[in-house]
Amino acid sequence: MAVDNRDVIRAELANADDRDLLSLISEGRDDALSELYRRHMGWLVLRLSRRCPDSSLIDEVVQDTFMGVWRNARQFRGDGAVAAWIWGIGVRRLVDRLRRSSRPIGLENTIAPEPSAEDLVLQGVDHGDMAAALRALSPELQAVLRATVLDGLTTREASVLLGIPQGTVKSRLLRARRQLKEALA
Amino acid sequence: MSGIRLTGVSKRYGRVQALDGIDLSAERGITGLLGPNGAGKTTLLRVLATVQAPDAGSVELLGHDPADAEQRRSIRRRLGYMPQEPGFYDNFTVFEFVDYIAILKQLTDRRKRHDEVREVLGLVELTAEARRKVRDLSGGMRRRLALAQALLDRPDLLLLDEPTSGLDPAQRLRFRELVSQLPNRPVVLLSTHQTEDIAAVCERVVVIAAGRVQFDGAPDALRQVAVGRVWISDRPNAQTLLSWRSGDGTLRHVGEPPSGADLVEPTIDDAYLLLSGSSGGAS
Amino acid sequence: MSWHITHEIMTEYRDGRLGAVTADSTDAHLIECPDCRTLATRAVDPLRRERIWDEIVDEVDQPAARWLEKGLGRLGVTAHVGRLVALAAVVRSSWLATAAAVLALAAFASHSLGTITFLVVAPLLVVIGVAMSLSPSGAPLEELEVSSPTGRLRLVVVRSSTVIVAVAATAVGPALMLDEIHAAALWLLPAVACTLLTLFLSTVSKPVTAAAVVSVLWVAAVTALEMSASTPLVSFQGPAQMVFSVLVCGLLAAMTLRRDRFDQPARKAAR
Repeated sequence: MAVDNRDVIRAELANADDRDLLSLISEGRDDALSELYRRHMGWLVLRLSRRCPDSSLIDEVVQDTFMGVWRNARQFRGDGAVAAWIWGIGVRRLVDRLRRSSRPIGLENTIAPEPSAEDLVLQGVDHGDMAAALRALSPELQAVLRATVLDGLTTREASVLLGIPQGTVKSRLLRARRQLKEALA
Repeated sequence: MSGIRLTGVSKRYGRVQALDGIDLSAERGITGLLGPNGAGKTTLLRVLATVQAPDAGSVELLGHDPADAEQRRSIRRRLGYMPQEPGFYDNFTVFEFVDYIAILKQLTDRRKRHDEVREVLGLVELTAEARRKVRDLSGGMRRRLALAQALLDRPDLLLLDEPTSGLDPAQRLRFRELVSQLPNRPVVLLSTHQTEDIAAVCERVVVIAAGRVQFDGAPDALRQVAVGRVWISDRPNAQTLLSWRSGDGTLRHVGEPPSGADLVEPTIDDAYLLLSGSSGGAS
Repeated sequence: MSWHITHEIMTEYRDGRLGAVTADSTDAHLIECPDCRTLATRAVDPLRRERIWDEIVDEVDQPAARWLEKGLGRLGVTAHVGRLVALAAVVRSSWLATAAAVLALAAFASHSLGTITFLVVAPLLVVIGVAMSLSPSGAPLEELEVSSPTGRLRLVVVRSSTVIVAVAATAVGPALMLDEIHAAALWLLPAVACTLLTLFLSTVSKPVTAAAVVSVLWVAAVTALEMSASTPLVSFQGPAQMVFSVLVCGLLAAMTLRRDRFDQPARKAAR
């Protein structure tokens, strides 16, 4: 039997890189969106779930995110990773949702114990001094750093995400940076 | 109650007798309709599609009588029709067009309908074109689009009018594969000029010329009609029905041979020409 | 890249059992590494993945619902009927603009020529609109429509109703310009009668011919009535409206008897 043309298209999509998929998406190819979704929905769900424990809200945010990708694929500048661009869309959709629902989520509910130095070596995860310094911070200070530095949010957006006033975000940021500086000096 | 049965079906348009006492039955499987333009093939398909009522004769489709309004609706629910020129709304995208037809076919659940639309677009390989406007499509793509809407909701009766016109050879092969592998094995009537399509997929072929059935049987039996009637030679002859120059430089004649001609194995084309030529009006 | 996410780390990451800073490293790593992202996709429940995708593709597939469909949806009209309405030939800004202009002109002319002008013109627009909806441009997919379970009759009804409503809506503005605003709606019942007559005649002749005949009849009838009577607008007063009601009922009955004629294409097709 001849090769099903649909398999050929699927194989082409599987081999395309994320940028190519975005350009196909901007041409209206929803099968390219499907492939991008398959590649990125997993980490997006997991990473967003760390910011907000409400799993049905996360489902909606992921849905919103890929609709945003579908509508705005043309606006991807080509600078930086597609994944980072997707995260930018996703985390902002989360902030929007939280802002509208006025549901303060606060910090992660489960704060797991940090692994020991031996565990880190075993896992190959040790990132040296920075990691150690970060671990020395209190969870609240870690949270504001995570929201602004790692997630790329503004202090206003971070305040919505964390459910704390903007002023508190700013003061905690200052403390966090000061403590890191001292620890690394 | 899965087949179609026509008895003595006639239809006249003005002075032209498009169908003249057609007797035809078909069960599950692919039946080819061969015949010149104006022979009545399209009219026949339109009668089968319940678009046109005949002047005389009885019609039974999938166990129902299309003369009765309620039964006609039942037939239409299980019918897929691919006209020669379906027509399109100006602004429709490929997806919107098939979705509209799906709405007409009463697939009201939006999620299921959209799944079905995507399914048929995949079958005819128009997935990449889903969001293009229909008016921007090539002729071959439009044919595939017309086929896609006919395949919606797995019809039990599938009527195809010139399905491969405008398709390149690879697409034609893909079409044949598609039509021979339809999962629910519908009654398929395939009206075409392409004798290779007939030979490749049809279990049975009906030749229609001048509104009448000139032949009804297996493609190979059709070929047999021309046995002893096809010749090649170097010289032309006025008495043959038709002759043309083959690729190797010889002349091929159908009908009476010129002197000194050699008999050859006939093809379906030869038989078709013989049958349609003898009743007047070659295509 | 020196470090990759192992299966164990991914499981702990997913379950929230990873230390915060280690999880942050994992976050950052996933932005950089396609292979580990594949791991992450597998870590999410496949049913959840399908469910979210169903919602996405549903929104992606939804053809650009025109504003009219959305409005009708809010009024409780089912989505597919809304789609049929929105596709009617008259629902095109060019046609509506022309109709609005004509009605405005008629309303303006009514100041000098009498309200009758407006009341005669509006049904004519309806008849033209109905003829358009029966013509090739209004129904390019006729063969497919006839052979569908929905059937041509239902589509004809939807489209004709849309014409009447569209003209009525377009007439509201111009009607306010009339001297006798209270008379503004008196053309509706006659328009319905004209529509039914046009549809009825379209079963025996081409839509254009039917429309022409009805238009001529309409203008002639009104003209004759007005000239023979002493009171103005006699063609639209109480007794006349009664006559139109009877006409509408009669035509509806006749159409019901001939409804099978609508189950065929209006146009002659190729053999």
